[in-house]
Amino acid sequence: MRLANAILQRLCNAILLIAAVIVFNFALIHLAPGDPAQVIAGEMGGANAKILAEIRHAYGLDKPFLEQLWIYVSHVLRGDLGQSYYFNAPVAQLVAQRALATVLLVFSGLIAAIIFGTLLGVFSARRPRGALSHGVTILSLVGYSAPVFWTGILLILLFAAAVPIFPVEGMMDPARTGGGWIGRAIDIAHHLVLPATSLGIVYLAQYSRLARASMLDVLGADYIRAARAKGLSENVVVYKHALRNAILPVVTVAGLDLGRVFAGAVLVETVFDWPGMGRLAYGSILRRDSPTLLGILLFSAVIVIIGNLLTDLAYRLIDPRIRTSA
Amino acid sequence: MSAAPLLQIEHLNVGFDTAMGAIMVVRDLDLVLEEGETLCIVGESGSGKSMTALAIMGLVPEPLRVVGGGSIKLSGEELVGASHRRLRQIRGKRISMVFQEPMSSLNPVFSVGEQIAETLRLHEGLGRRDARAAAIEMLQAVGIPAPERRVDDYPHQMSGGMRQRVMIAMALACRPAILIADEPTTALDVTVQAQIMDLLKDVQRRFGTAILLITHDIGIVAEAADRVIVLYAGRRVEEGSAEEVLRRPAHPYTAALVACAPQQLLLGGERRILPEIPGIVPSLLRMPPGCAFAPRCARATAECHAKAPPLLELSAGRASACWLATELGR
Ligand SMILES: Nc1ncnc2c1ncn2[C@@H]1O[C@H](COP(=O)(O)OP(=O)(O)O)[C@@H](O)[C@H]1O
Ligand SMILES: [Mg+2]
Repeated sequence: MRLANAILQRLCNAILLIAAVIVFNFALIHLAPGDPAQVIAGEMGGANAKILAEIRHAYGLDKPFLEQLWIYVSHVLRGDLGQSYYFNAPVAQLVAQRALATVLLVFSGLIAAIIFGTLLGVFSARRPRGALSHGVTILSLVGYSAPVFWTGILLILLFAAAVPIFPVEGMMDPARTGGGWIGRAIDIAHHLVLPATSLGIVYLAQYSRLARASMLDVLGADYIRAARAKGLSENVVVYKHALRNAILPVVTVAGLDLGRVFAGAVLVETVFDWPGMGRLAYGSILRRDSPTLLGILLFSAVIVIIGNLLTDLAYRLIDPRIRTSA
Repeated sequence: MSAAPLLQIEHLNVGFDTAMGAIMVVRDLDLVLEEGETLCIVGESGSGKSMTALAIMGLVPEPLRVVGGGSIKLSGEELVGASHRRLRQIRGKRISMVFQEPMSSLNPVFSVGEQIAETLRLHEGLGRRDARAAAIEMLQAVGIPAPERRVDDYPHQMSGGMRQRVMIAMALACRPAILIADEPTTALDVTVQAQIMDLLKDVQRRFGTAILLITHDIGIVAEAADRVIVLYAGRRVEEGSAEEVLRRPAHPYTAALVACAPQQLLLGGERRILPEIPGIVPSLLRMPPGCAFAPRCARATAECHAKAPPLLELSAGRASACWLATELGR
């Protein structure tokens, strides 16, 4: 009951937040320099003042700001994100096509980093002076300082030139035929390995360090000594009593990363020619394609909000102090 | 042939090596705990009480270790050097421990019922439902009201006194022969302290548990102990029946401890903040060549500063490590 209430309350907050994001983004893009009409005209091969005025009229750009905002918001509420100036296609369709690719890339990279990073951190915390522990320290140093595109290029060099076992470009093999959907899934997974790895390594470094510090902290707690005094085996002490507490900071940071990871995706998508939203966003900025940009921003906002909701829920499941208070 | 004592410690040494030489936090400790009795270990903070307790549990923290040829026997069974597996069978089942910090000794993410039931499932092989029922019974036994409801509470929903009751319930769940209580009331309010002490005495009566009670508070010795061992800088300086030791301390350190708590001992009045014995415990790295207490002792002689006194048996079960012991203990 408490949980249902909390979820309901957060959903209401989320809806308000999304509404604010829509208005804010629209205002921001409107204030940005550059005239969309010029861009559209440029696509058509140059224009005079008369044509520009016609374009402005056709796209509603000559209307007052508040009216434009109202038109945009009422369209969005009906699920219509507008028309791309550049592709001349519905924005919703453009975003939907690429969203899956990006979400696949980002989540597989991040989730793998969280799981492996936490495990590495836990193992090394059990032997703080062991080889693995030093390995984690070095990994986190390297992972922190290496930019994601550099890791990506390195991986390409390694797996395109030295040991060509993974594809380094695109999301599927266009020449591949047959094999059904399982074959396609395998093909995509194969293409996913390198981009997800280069995105994930940065996060792997971060999570292994975080989990190690958190676990070391928890292993020194009084309740861990008390758990040992009960006669519990070391595995139960570590994986039941300690991990459940040590994972809390990991969950917090994971929630924050869900939002930030999309920024890193732009670079990885560019390096690996991954047909995702990051590249679409980058291109749309250069092209002043504001409807597309707005659609992408809205989508990202929704993802971030969902991420926060999930984090919140996970936290509640793990930590009774939060469950039973608010 | 008489049966082996419930717990017998001989020549226990706990210490670790440093660049500046070995540091010993417990030195040559002997101790016998008989069934159903309460033995107090009393001493100032840092005198090695907790390390003695943890040594019995086999849980001495790194870098400390049990060193030398010491022995800890539980009903005749040697625990020093016993396998991890065997020690785990004993912990929580035959010997349990209650810690000083009830606020942080319970795991915040599990319900108190689960934390009690876990021990029962482990050692008694109970199923989930039986373990939960037994946990409720234990909560009842330690005086927690509405135990069927509180069993699902989390530690943060309970006061310090309640949590210490839970710790005691957890420790006693498998009816251990020995309960080690390491300053179980130090972190609690005065009124709650008295309740917890009463509870310990009550469960001891009901379950016949032997209690090794660790405290820095001589008042608690007066209140609960059958026998007492006084530790100073890791060494026994005096031991004997609580009554005799308190009435006629045979070591100046014990005498000072007793002198610091006159009110309560003589009148049974409320506990006061104790005046301190002047001076500080010597650093374990730079122990004086003579008696460790000599630098703080009003009666110390040249001999005291030069030579450490051995533990001298004054009468059966009564001993003191002081050159003036015979004179004092009279
Ligand atoms: N993990 C540790 N490493 C090194 N020395 C320790 C450690 N824990 C405690 N000590 C030292 O051991 C001595 C005895 O400590 P302890 O048994 O906790 O004292 P008490 O319980 O009597 O207050 C103290 O001098 C303390 O500084
Ligand atoms: Mg202590």
